[in-house]
Amino acid sequence: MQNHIAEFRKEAGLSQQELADAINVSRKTISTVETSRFTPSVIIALKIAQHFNTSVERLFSLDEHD
Amino acid sequence: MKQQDIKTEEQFMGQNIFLSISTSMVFLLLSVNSVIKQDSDGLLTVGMGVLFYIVIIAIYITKAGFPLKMYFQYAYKDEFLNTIDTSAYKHSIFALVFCLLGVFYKGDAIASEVSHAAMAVFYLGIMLLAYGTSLFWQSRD
Repeated sequence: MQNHIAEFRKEAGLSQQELADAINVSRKTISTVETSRFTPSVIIALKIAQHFNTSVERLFSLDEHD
Repeated sequence: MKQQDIKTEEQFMGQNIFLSISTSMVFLLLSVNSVIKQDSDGLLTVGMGVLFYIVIIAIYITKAGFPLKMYFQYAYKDEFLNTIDTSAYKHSIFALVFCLLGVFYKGDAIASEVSHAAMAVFYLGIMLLAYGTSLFWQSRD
């Protein structure tokens, strides 16, 4: 699964810590989700999408291995 | 859940990694020394070494403001920290089983003079090393 969280975050001018603080998760959660090493729960995915005022589908996309 | 709780958990995990790896180093050094020297008197060294280590840790806890209450919680509230913690427990169990099998097959190569206490410290060291290393590896940026 790929995601575009880093792009959205940089576009919004936020650091990983600021995004983590905004959605109440640890900075490492953001870091590992961005590098696709950790797949977040639906709750976290929805929180991130809500924060950037976008849909989950725009943030996450399936790749050929999924 | 407050962001402060998450930060406390992150701090706790960082300290946990440090404590696990350093404790495992002490345990392994002491027990391996006992195994290699085939010396049951090594127990005294083990006991004194562990005692010294506990004192160091007590000082560390006092100085660093270690969140002791975290020891009474069974799981991390943060999803990622909880996931890697669970994986680390699995890794430590795998390491223990692997180590037990190794001792089972190579038991004759280990001196019979080695005490059960020294072997127990050795197993503990292996589990702590696997736990700490696993957490350290999984929480890398």
